[in-house]
Amino acid sequence: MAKRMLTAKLSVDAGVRMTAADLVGIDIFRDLDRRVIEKFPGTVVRREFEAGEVICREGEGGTTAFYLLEGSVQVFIARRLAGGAAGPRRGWGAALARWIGGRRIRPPQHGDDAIIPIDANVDLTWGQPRTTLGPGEVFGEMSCLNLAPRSATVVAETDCVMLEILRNMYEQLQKAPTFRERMDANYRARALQGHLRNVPIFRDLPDEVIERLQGRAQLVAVDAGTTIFSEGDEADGVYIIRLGQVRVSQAFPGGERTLAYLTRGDFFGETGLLRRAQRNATCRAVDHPIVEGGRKRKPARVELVKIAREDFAAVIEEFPRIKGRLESVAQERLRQQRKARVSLTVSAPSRRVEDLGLLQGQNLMLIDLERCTRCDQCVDACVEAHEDGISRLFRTGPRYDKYLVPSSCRMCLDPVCMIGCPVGSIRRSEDLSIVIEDWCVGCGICAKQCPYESIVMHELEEFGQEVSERLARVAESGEVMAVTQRAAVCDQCEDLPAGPACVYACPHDAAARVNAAEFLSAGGLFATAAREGERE
Amino acid sequence: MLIDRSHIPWGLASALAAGGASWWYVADAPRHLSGPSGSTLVGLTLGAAALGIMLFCTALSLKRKAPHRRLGRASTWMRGHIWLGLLACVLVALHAAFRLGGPATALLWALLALVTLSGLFGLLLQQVIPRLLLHSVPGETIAQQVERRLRDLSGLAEQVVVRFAGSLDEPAPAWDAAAPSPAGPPAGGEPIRRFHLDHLRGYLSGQAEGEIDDPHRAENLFHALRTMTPEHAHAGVDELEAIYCLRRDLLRQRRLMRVLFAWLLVHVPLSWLLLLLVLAHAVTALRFWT
Repeated sequence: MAKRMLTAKLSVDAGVRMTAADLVGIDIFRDLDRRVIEKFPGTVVRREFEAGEVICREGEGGTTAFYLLEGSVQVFIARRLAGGAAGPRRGWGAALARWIGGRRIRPPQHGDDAIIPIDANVDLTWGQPRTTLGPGEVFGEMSCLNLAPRSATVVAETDCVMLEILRNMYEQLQKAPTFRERMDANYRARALQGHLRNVPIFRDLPDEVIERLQGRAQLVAVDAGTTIFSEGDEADGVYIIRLGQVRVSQAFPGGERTLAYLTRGDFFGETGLLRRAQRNATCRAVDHPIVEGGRKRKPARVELVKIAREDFAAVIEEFPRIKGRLESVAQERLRQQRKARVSLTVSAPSRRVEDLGLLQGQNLMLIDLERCTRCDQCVDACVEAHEDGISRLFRTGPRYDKYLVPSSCRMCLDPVCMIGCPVGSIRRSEDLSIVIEDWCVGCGICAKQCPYESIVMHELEEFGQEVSERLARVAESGEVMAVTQRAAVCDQCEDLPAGPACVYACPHDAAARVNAAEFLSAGGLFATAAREGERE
Repeated sequence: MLIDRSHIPWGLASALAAGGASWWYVADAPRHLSGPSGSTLVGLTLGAAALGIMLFCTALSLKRKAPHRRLGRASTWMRGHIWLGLLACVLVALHAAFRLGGPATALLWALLALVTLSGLFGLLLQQVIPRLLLHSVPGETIAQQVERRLRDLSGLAEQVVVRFAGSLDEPAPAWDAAAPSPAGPPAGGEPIRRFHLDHLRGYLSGQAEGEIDDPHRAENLFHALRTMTPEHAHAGVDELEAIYCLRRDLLRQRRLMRVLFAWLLVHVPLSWLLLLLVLAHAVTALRFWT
């Protein structure tokens, strides 16, 4: 099949510049004062795309939002449509072979209804990773406001006309009531139900209850840096993230510890719906990291959906039969949260420990260089233990006393790699290890953010001719998709009973995985090294 | 593998097993008119045990091909390899009744000795060389990258020279502290350029030997270079010295790594040859045993 090269350019120079006179004729600009529009000349262009033309591709950088005037577009994640990881073979023989072989095939941790958040007023799911947008809808808002990479591939389904808008004008639009109402209505209609179903307490509620909740949901916006609630505050409802990022942290004797970074479609504070409990974590709105250029800019907003306890109670009053069931769900959630809270005591670390970020390591890999014969069995084991044949361990990094701290995920206390994933494909598992889901679009933002170079971007070898043709059929555009790489991170071999393959395979007892804080506080091997490191 | 306290149980167990086998051998010896030999029940049993150990020890090289497979921890295998390997020598000696035998068994003895000694030599190296690498090669890198990094150093040094002397080929203008010229090539860098041409270039390319090969002389040369250059160019001297030290480290690393792994070139092939010949010996001996 002949493949055309992509011609779409995501630049305001590629279309017809719209003047203030042009824009005031378009409904969403009607509320804006003409003088305000004139302050930002050249920030909106009218673009026309032929059916099949690619408008933007997942993982690419982008700085503009698109408002669809005419026609429709298909939004999808090419990587997912091309086929995610194949499921493991079943049967006793296969299980035995896997056990002895030690090759890890991680089963999907999600069902078909798992939400893949994208940069539009609609989400994709694992089972249905494609949708259509029509006139009056917006996509690319996160890229425009927060410089987030494009979260999905967008292809013109029919001949389309759209406005491509830069941030300064988009911020003005957000203040315009007509535009805001339209965006809110689109969100309520297309995404809110899925987001509500994502909250465990709501998951099994009847449709009619969810519809009532949709009506009572409050759409709120906070500036990045705002504390949404603090640990110890009285819980007053659940929040769902509509746009932006939220950091969840808990206070520990050694300092504040980040539990997670949440993104679109994620929720927090759900136990506060049913009882007057205290918040057990602090949640703050955070800005998207700037990965390109590093220029100063105004912090972005975080948009949230709030279901207040009183509103929820009013809805539940109408459906008393589900109240008992909800109570048991809440009990279970509280039990899980208590279990997840682990103790953390840290004695004063040395300067060098701080400089190397060792205390971040909840599962830090150390190689004793007095024992290590540099045989690379640890790296070989890592390669062999993963079905994609990619090493998550590189035997290079800083030295600390007699230890090498190799490049491998440390399971940081503050996993900054999780900030800014455009599709929410990086998350923390229950055992605190970092997991990258199959729908990673390969933008590389997590790898750029990891301070310890522990996330590897690797080429997708499977993107050969066959997959390209499948993608081309998917897109119905005859073009090869852009996603040719994805991120890989050490998952601590969490499903291997013998522990991480790298440690298991070291013939010289040189490799170890340690909790840095425990080493320090226990006054053990690492503490000795710390004292010796001080003397250097 | 570093020999430490964790080896004590293995050492004790091996010593006990060797003692038990010796006691059995001594107790059984008077029962045979022609004395103990490999064809007695005791001799045969001890020989079979030694063969089993040899199979296990040789299987280590297969295990290393699949490090992730759940066949036991690699460090346990390594301890077993060391201590059971030594035990096998005792069992073989008892099996052979401390006799050299004919030419075929003498060859087996020679091979066993070479394999054991090369293994012990390797073990000795593993006690010393990792520590040497740790303390004397601060710029250690991944073994596969040593050659590439060595090649890159010449280019890095040239960049430093260009930065501080303006050019590799043209002399840099002299430094006049009273009238520093902000435009044109950097002044005062000529000693750096000359030093690079006279000493460092040949050393970094590995094509010439000179007094800079000696670390003490090199230190003096860099010290002298500092005294000849204006203060603002000392950073360039520091960078060149760092590049020089890095090459020295990488060369030392390459040398040490070669020593660290060279013994395997003897140990592994001879182990396989020994195993093949021992299997042939066992088959032949069993055929004629009755």
